[in-house]
Amino acid sequence: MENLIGIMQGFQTLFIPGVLIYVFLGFFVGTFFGAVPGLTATLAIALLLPMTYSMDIVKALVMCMGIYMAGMYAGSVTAITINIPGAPAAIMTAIEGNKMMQRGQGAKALGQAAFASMIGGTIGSILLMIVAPFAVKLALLVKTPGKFSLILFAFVVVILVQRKSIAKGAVATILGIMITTIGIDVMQAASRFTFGIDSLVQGIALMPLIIGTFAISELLIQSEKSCNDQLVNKEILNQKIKRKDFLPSIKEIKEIGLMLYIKSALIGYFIGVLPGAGGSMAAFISYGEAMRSSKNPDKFGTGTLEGIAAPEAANNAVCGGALVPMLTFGIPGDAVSAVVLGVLIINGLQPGPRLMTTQFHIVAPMFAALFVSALIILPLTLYILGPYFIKIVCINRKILYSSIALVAMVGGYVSTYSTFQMLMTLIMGIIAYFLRKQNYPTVSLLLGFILGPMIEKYFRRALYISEGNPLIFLTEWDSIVFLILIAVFYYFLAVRRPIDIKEVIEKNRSK
Amino acid sequence: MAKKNILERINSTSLLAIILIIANSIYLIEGINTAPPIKNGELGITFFPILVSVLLYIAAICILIAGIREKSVLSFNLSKISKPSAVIFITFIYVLIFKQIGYILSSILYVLSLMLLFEDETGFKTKKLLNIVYSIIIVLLIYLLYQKVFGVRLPVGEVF
Repeated sequence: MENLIGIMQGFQTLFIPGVLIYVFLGFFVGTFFGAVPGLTATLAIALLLPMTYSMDIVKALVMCMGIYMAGMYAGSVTAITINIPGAPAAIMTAIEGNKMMQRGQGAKALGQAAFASMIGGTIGSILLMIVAPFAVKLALLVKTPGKFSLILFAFVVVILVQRKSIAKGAVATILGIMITTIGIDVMQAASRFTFGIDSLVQGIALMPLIIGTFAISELLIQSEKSCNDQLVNKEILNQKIKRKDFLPSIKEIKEIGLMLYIKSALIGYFIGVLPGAGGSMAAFISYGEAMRSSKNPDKFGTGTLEGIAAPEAANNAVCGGALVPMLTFGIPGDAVSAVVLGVLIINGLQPGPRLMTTQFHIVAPMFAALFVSALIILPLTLYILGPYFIKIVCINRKILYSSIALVAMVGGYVSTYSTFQMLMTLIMGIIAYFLRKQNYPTVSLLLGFILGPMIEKYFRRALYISEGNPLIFLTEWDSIVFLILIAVFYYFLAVRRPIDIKEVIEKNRSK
Repeated sequence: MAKKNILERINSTSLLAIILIIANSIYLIEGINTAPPIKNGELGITFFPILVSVLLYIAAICILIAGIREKSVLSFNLSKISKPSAVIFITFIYVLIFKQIGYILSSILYVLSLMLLFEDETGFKTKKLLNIVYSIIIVLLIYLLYQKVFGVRLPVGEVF
């Protein structure tokens, strides 16, 4: 009851015009960043990060929610129109949507993607409001050894979801942990890993790492690309899309089946809860499940509405799921929630049960904003932005990327008002650039950086409690639960690998 | 088929793994030199970092082996790396001059340089004068955003 009142007050705060405007602002920023290939919602929030220093935290957080939800949906726009997913979570949508675009059914595909995103996002945010208070109670039961095993579990999942190269996932995560060890020790007032450089005693701040990893590395990658990589078919650009074409018909929704939307949203939500899994994995698994349970699995890969509805409902439901572990345990579920965690940390808020109980008035408007952002996807994107979606790809990249570079570098300076952290932003960007070139997951690097000090602290504290006996991790029930979870996830993600959906799609296409 | 020697087996995957192993070794040595991992039966400030360093060796060696098994060879494409290198250089210079000549001037030079760098890639060939105008507008807009809207103090320059 108390939580319900808190959430209602959250809605009340959100509907103050001065606050609500930030949701819409975030929504438009998210739509733009989500739709332009190469730009992501993560990057948008990373660039926003330095500005949140002087913003009201509630306004900053509701804006982040708008960016998050819209960014997740908008990836489907370029995926459908030009077959370039605006965000990684829209890869499966590109497979089906672009086929429909080529058949002249682009508006229908875009409309279905928006409708499914709205359903998925709404279910995800409702579940967030219901589950988060219970998760807080669970979080309060977890003690020091359990907290260590929980973060270890998070790292194992983050690494295992990199199915193509688990070793690269491990390296990126460990690198993130190592970077956090530079500077003052987490428990004692002693410096370490400064390599004789005085400036390194202050360590590497979160902001340069986030901005460097997501903005500067993207700038370097984009500088490699030539104009031809982004050429858009003129016929597609000149296609006239009418507003009425977007709205999905009742018949289409019935054909897809409401259960598919709900099932995909649930898949997305639970994948969102898992650390590091994120929207692309949710889209991938829900697409696979939709294909498995479909009456016409042969049509997948050839342009089917089911194949758009499932991944889009799932990736937007991820938003609600990813915020549960971030807010209750301080463990982000994906890259965007990791950066939102950064917004909380740099504003002096420590996510965890205490934040959810004593400062719920800050968190509740966030929940409300996520819910409202999901609801406005369909009317706002289709009726206001819809007809201009295709034009987004015509953006002048020269102006875009030089502006991003400037915001990023100034953001690096703002973190401590020192050019040292600006230099760190550049160095982190260079490191992330080389890692990305070799397909090392930068999300793992970020999670390693954020969770590194926590895992070290709990590890050392647990061993201090047990007087150096490592068996404490195997005798405390809360720790055992997470160690069993590690074994279960290892079995399902590493030993018994899921089927290769891409292979099945290729088979369908070649028929 | 003649067996490849070790240098011929180096490709971008294995090269990055080697760099990681070297960097990890420097990190490990720094850790050992800073403080002993265990002191008087208690964990020291370097115990955990040394532990993760050992784990990094294992993961990096796995990548190195996988890289050696790959068929691809190391190839340098100068045209591919020239633009990112130029962006890095320009950004480095920007960091150096940022406080010296102040936000406005350094940022105009920075944005203009990047615009010229991205010029022939964009498909939007713009006249040079227009580039300068765009640069000034971008810099002023971001100045207004930070300094006026968010109240962030940006450097005015020490030289002038």
